[in-house]
Formats: sequence, structure tokens, C-alpha cells
Amino acid sequence: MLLPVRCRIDAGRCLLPPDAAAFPTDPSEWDGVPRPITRDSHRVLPVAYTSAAACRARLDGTPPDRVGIYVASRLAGCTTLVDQVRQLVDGVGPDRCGSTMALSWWPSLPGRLSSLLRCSGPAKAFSGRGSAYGEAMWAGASALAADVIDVALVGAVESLTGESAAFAPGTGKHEGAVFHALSEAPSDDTGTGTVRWRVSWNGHHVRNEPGTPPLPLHYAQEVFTGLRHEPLRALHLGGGYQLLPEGTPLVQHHREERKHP
Amino acid sequence: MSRPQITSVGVLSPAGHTWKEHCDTLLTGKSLVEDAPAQGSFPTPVPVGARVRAFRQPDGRPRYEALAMDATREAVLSAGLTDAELRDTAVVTATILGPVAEWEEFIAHEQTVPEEWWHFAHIADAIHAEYGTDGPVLNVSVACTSSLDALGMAADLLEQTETSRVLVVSAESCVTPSVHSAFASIRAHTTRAGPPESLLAPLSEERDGMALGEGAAAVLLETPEAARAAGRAALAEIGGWASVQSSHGGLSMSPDGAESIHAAHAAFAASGLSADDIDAVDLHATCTPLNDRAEAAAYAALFPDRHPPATAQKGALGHSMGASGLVETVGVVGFLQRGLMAPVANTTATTLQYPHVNLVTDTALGHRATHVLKFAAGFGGGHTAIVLKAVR
Repeated sequence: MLLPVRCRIDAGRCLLPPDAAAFPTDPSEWDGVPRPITRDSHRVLPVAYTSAAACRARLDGTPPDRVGIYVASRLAGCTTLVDQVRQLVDGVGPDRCGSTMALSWWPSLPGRLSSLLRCSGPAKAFSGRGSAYGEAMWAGASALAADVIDVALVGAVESLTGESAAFAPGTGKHEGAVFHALSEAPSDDTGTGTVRWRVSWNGHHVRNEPGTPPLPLHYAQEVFTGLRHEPLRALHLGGGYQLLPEGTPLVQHHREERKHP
Repeated sequence: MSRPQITSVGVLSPAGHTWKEHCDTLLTGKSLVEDAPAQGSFPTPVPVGARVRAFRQPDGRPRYEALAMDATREAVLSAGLTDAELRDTAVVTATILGPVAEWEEFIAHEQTVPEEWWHFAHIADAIHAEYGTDGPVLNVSVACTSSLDALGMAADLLEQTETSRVLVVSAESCVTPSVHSAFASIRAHTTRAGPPESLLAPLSEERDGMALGEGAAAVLLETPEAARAAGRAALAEIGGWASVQSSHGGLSMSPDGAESIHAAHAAFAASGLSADDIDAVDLHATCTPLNDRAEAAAYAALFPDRHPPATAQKGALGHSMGASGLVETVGVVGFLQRGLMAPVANTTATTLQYPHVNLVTDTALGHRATHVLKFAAGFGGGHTAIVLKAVR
């Protein structure tokens, strides 16, 4: 299943360990992060912003309403809420907790990013476990195919705190973000070393296994590094979604294989 | 131009356990908001809310998933989907709070939240387990526009690829203390005194905020060719949809309704229509002072010379967050089928603050609309508009 759009990916900024590990805990030290998102913010928002802003800075010529934002996270929806519930139980006042939730809520993160980055195209978030990054890439490519936008900022983010850190045991990947630009490749964009990609779905569902790092971030990192090192192979995005280099035939997984991914 | 068709629906809401019951209740104009009984062991109370009544939650399953599966079963059964059709069905889900009610219980009892409760994909997993759906999956989570976005993305999936059938399912179980505390702290929740069923009055001069509601809806969306081949009649069509982002971001929106106007015009363009073709409107109308003022301004700008009848459902159902768009869409499809529009709960011609809005009040209006404009808006500044076309 192919989307009728040829995509070009421009690497943005990968904020992963060790960079992310150095991301300051004290909000007053979040240099470069706009003040409105630091007050009572969950860390997932500034972490995402820091990566996405570097990517947005390269798109100054694109009208704001032609830039869309598509963000993936397996756990941010849970961490932002569970942290708030935990605070309420621990006796932090409902006003303070409620304010934290309203300002840092995962489902409003793409909208807040959009505002901070001066974009007014669609801004969407996806929360599949192993598939969220694939879903975000699919939605960005779909918006390009429908000519709703000229550029999609696509990314994945996690910020695992407290008990959610148990989801990445021993990996060190407790926090990070990867954002890149996805745009439609011009039809004459050949022979220059630029690979034209198509986003496809091959029927191979992938679910998160216990003890693995949050997969959307993992897949986004693989694309980020894979584009630089192995540009001519298909890249998995999670959930059966994949990036196919132009000319690569789509191979559907056999249904028996689908039942036992 | 052939458009994706809604060929079956299911719903579980405070207004009823079936699509028929849901629509019948909405058409009475009665509010389902009530005193929220203590639920679980969480320390802070929720004053009022609209819950699904007489619903027995299966043990060991998140409530939002259980609500979603009941709505899905109604849609699947009434469509008569075969096993082969289900295997090739894509699934698009929407939730923004997932198992928040269960998280509260675990944490209140000082228990660690088990790993199987740490995600938002329960609905897609449960549909796959029960029906063997093997198509692509999207799990949308974009504040209160989520399920209307999910419906639009499902339409895109049908129009851009060889996918011929999508189940769109959304649910929230959000009448809970932590969710209430969030909306109370930003003064978006009602604090009015009085009988709970009278508190929510969309677009009225008495409104002061929303109340939470829970619910689930499921929609089967198909290409016209697939529906025809299966012998399923269309209930309505998706004309077109659009989503835009407010420059305000955060918790605010333009008082002049600029974002809703922008989204509506983009949806008209996607539908090949203009505002002149719209003959009914279903508003987001949360009952917050800012939202309803902005939507009334958008209505005035979109329809300066003619005033299509408008309705709004959160006065009856409360606000089911990410699920509200789909729960309300299912109501609109029912209204279109019956040639009626539901009256808005609690708002009267006397209390309506914006008389230029042709709001249906008091009793259901006989009105055979062809094109309905439906809005949704969410924290973070997202605004979505969709045009639903009647099929008769």
C-alpha cells in the first residue's frame, strides 16, 4: 500500500543520549527554550521543542500555514498524566497539578510546538506503541499527497520520568527527540544523489516488547542515522510502515507471517 | 465526485446504549449531566458529569476500551461485516486520556501501574483480538479534535490508497478527579450552582464552563465501490475536511473565530462546496465563555446573510474530550437520517447570547439538511471542520 507521493527527508536534529542526558533538570537552565513553555512544563515539551526548533530554522522560506507537525510518542501520553495523578495523590494541590496537566498535556503538545515554531498547518500526535512514528510519517506524507502542506516536521519524543523510566531498562534511552523535515521531492530531482522515498505499509504489525526502548524514538533514530549511512535500503518505521527508496518494489508480508510478527 | 461513505455506526453514551437510543434521547433536548457519584478511592471529588448509565465494566479491562468495544460491536453487527472483510479493514482510533481512570486507582492504592496499562493502543489491540483486523492502524491523540481528525484521516486513507474500509473508533472514560482538576484549575469547568441537568447551556448568557462526559463511538467508513459491492447502504458521506492550527497555541483562541472560519473554508474547498451550500451546523460548543463566543463569531462571518439551523450536543452529553467529535458525528448522522435537528439542552431563545445564531431550542426541528458543517477545537490550538453530506 503506497502513498502517491515521493518524499524527501532532510535530517533535522537528533537529541539523544549523550546529548539528551545533559538536558538540564532545572527549567531555569533551559537555554533557548521560550519562557511560556517552561512554567510547570513536563520535560517532554522542551525536549521536543529543542529538536524541532533546529529543524524549523531551516524552513524559513516556507509559509507558516504550509508547515505541518506530526509527532509520535509511545509513552508521553502516559507520563504526562501519570505524573500529574501521582502529584495529586501525594498532596500537591489540584490547582497546581491541573495547571501542569493543562500546560504539558501530550495531546496538546503538537499544537504548542506549532505555535512556538510559528506554524499554522495541521499539528497532530500519534500514540501507537511500536507504530507511532510510522503513523506520524504516514500522516505527514498523506498531507503532502493531499497538497495540504509543503513540509511536514515529523518526529518522535520521549521523556521517561519516575516509574516510566522502567520502560527502557539498561538502555539509557530515557529521554530524547528526533525531528526531521519531510517534503515532496520534485519530479526532476534525480541524478543528484538525493533519494526519493515513498511511505508504505507492508502489513507487518510490530508491537512493543517489554524491556525495549520506546520504539517510536528508536525508529526515528534509525531513519536519522540510516539516511546518512545506508540510503538505499528500506527503512522500517514501526507498525508495518516503512520508507521505500524509489524503485523498490513493495513486498506485502504473507498473512501467516502477519499473525505472528 | 465519489466520497467515502459512512455505512454503519455504533455508540455508547450517557444518552443511550445504542445508536437509536442515543439519537432518540438527544432529540428530546434533555441534559444527561448529573451529580457524579463517588467512583473509586481517589481523594478529590468530581462535582458533576455525564457517565454512561448501567454499564458493567468487564474485570481487568480499561473502561474506555470496554466502552469502545461495545460501540464497535454495534457498528460491526449492523454492517454484517464478514470475517474476510474484517481482515482487510484498517483501524483508526482516537483517545487522549486512555486508561486514566485506572491509573488513578492504581496510584491511589500505592500500586505500580502495570505495563499493560501504559499505552493508548488498547482499542486497536482489542479490535484486532476480537475481529482479526489486519489493516493499517493509526492511533490519533490530538486533544479534543482527535476523533474528528481520525474520521478525516480515515477518509484520506480511503481516497489516497487501495484501502477500501476503515473502522474509526474513539472512546474516553474521563469523568475522573485528575481530569476534573485540570479543567477546574484553568477555569474551564462549570462552577454554577443548581440542578446538574440545568448547568450546561451552550451559547447562553448563563454558561460558565463545561462538564465532563464519557462515551464511545464507532463508524464504518467505506469507499462507495466497496459499500456497493457489499450491498451496504450509505448513511452519510464525508464531503471533505480540514484541520488548522491557531497562532495563539496553548489554551486560547481568537475571539473572532478566525481559526474556525479558516478551517471551515478549507473544508469547503476540500468538499468542492461553499458556505452557501451548508444548510445545518453542529457546533463544538463546550459551554466555556471563550469557545462559544468564538464559534458564534465564526458562524456570523461564515453566514452573514442566511442563517442555517445550528445545534450543539455537549449541553446534553457533557464533554467527552477526544471522543466528542465522533460521538457527536454519529448523532448528526442520525439527525440527517430522520430529517430532524436536536434542540440544544438548557439554552432558550431568551437566554441565547448570540441571537444571530439560528440555534435550535426547546424542541426538535424538522429540517431535511443536505450538507452539515461540524466543528471541533482543542487545547493546543487545533481546529477541525468536516462537511457531512446526507444520503437519502
